[in-house]
Amino acid sequence: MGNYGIKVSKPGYDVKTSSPQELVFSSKYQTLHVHSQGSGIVYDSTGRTVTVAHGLGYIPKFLVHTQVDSSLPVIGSTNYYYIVPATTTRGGIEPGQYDLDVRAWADSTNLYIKYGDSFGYKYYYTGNVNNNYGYEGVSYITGTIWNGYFSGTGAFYKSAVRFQDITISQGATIYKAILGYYLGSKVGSSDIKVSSYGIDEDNTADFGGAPWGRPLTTATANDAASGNFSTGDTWERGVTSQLQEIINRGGWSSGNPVGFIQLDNGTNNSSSNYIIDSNSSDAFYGNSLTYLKVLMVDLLANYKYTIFLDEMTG
Amino acid sequence: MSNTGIKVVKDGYDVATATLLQQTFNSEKNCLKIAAEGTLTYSGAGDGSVTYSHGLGYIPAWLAWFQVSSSNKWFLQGIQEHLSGKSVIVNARTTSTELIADIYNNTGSAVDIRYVLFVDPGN
Repeated sequence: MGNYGIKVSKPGYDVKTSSPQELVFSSKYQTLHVHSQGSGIVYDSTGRTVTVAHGLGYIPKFLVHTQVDSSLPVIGSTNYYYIVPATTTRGGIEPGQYDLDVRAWADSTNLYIKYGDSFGYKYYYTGNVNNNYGYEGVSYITGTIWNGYFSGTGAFYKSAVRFQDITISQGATIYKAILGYYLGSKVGSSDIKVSSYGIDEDNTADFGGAPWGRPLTTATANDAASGNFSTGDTWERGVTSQLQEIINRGGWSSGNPVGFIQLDNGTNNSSSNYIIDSNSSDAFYGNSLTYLKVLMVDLLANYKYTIFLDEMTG
Repeated sequence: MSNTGIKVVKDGYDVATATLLQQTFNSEKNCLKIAAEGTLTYSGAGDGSVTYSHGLGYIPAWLAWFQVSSSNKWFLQGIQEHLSGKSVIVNARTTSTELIADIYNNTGSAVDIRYVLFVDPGN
């Protein structure tokens, strides 16, 4: 290193003989210059993408850290800050884990911090348990969900699905709950119309026997799997009020199972229009691809950012 | 903290009393010094990697970002970015001699990786 410029050595080192690593500053080496720093809170209800205007007119280097709310113990911890990007690895989310999907990028006008659509949700799966699935067109069968109309039998199909180990305290307020089906088969071009109910029981039994006579929640919703869906798509729909009604039951206990029933609600029967969701598993974690995901609070995370003056490719 | 050495404070603070967080420089605290920075380009499809030989002889602290070439939208490395159903993943790592960016790319375009390697060791 040439003997020019300004050098400041670490305490205890001779500036004249110090190596670069023993210097706290050397005018030979560029350092990153902070343009701006800030922090904020992102809420589900106010949109999941934060936009920070930097006004630099070029793309700057940047760093972002995110914290999750203490009620969302992502990867088993609370109140830690993660370096963004923070993502759930390929293959999906383990049972009982919260989704962690935060990414950040910059262009010449803004820094963007985007929390994925499933960030903060806790996931529950059916597991590869046949008796957590049931459907009936002309006879009752477990191990599969089937909804819609099948011209081969001339029947409308109804289905039920059950999730175990729901760790939500009795009476806790649920912000959002979403039921997701992986469409192992999708036939026809018309919407598959259903009415979704919860099974209004404290500790609903498995579906070894047909569940159609079980009490249903007052809360219900009419939904449709779009006719534009294809095999391999995931169909999500809200079941917040249905799940809330179950959790509010006086006899509900955290760790109990919950069930949902979907009755046909007028699917076009001029030809076959149906979906089938088998209990096929996720290749990475071995979970069922059918899931219930629950968001308990609106607040998602605190974030901090640092935008450097230094140009990305300068 | 002893009252020796060099301190530089932010505008509006008294150097005699400013806390560390009110200082822009303190000779008792290391600054990350950039040893090298540059851009690597991966033009392939599917899995691959690109490498920069830094020759430092130790594992340095580092940062890296990436873009799909000419998109002018830079992400911190490590992310899986979906672009109309296509994706790119960049995971960078360092050894005592190299920075290596492992890439999965099915975008049909090249991927640029911008790296900054610091003089300062990563541990």
